Amino acid sequence: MAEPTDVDLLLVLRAQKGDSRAFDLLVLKYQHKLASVVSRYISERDAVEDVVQDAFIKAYRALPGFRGDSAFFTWIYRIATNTAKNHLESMGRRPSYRGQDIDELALYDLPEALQDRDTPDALLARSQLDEQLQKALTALPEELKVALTLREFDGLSYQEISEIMETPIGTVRSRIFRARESIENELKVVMSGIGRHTQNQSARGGYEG
Amino acid sequence: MKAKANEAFSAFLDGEASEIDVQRMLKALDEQPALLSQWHGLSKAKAGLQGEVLIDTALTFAAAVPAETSAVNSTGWRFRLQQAGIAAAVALVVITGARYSLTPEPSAPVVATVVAPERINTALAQQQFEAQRRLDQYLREHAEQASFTTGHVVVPAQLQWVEAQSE
Repeated sequence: MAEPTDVDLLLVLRAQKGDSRAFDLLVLKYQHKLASVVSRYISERDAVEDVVQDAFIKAYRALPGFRGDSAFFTWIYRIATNTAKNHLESMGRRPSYRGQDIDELALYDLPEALQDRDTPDALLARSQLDEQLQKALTALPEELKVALTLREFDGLSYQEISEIMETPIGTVRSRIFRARESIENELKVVMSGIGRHTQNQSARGGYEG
Repeated sequence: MKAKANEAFSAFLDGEASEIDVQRMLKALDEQPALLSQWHGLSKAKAGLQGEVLIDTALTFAAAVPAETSAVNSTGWRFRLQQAGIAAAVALVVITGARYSLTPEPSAPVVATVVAPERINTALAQQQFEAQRRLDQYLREHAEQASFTTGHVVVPAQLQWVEAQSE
C-alpha cells in the first residue's frame, strides 16, 4: 500500500507559494475543531468566532515560517489557544477556566457538560440540532447511513469500511459524500441559525427557502 | 468534475484525500469560487455529527484573505530587491571611491613647482594611505549592512593592494 500523503502539508506548501485557495481548504477543515477548542475558554459565541478568525489570520501571516516540523493542526492549535489567552487578557480576565491555568487545561479534553457554552440558549440550539441530525441520519438510504455511521461514530478508515461493506473505496467515498450532502440539505435551516455569518443572512430572509 | 471535487473534499475532511484530490479541489475552487460556500455547508454537517462548535470563519476568512495574500507574497521579493539595491549602491560607492583615490585630480596641477623627490614620495604615500583607509571603511560599512539584512556577515578581506602596488 502506498504511503499516506500529508495533504495538509501539501496545502501549506501551496499556500506558502501564494495560493490562498489552499489555505481556504485548511480553514474549512479545521474551523469547527478550533472553535471547539477556543470555546473551552471563551463562552461568547461571537468572541469565539473572532478568536478563531484571528488565529487563522495570524497563522496565514506566519506561514512562511512554518517548516512542517509538527502537524499543521498542532501548530494552529497552539496559535488559537494563545490567541484565546490574549483575548481574555485584553478583556481584563484571567486566562483560566474555573481556576485552572489555561495552558494546563489545553492538555486535556473537557467533558462536554462542563463547557462554558452550556448556557440555556446554547443547550437548546444544540439539542435542536442533535434532534434534526438524528432524524436526517435515520432518513438516509441504508447504504449511505451505514457508510456514514461507520465513519463518523465508529471512526473507521475508508479502507476498513470498504472491507466491511464489500465495496470499492471509490463507492465508500461517494456514499459518505452523498450522506453528508443529504444531511446538509436537511439541516440547512437549523445549522444556518448557529454561525454568526449565516445568522445575519437568515435575519435578512434566509429562512424563506 | 464537480461530483469528483465534492467527493474529494468530503474525503479531505476525513483525512482520506490524496494529492490528486488536492489538485482536483483547487482546480474546482478556481473555476467555481461559490463551491467554498457549498463545502462550508458540508464541513458543518460533519462537525455537527461530531458535536463540534459550528462557526462561519471559512466564509469571512476567504473574503479577508486577498489583501493578506499580496502582503505575504510581496514580502519575499521586495525584501530581496531591497537587499540587492543596498548591495549594488555600496559596491558602486566602493568602486568609485577607489578610482578617485587612485587617479590624480585632473584640475590639480601635476607638479606646480619643483619639489624634492622625498616630498613627492611622502605625498603619494599619504594619498595611498588615505585611499586604503577609505576603502577599508566602505567595506566595513558594507559588511555591517549585509549582516543587518541577510544574517550572512561579509568580512572585509585585508586588501593589500597599496603595498602590492608599491612593491
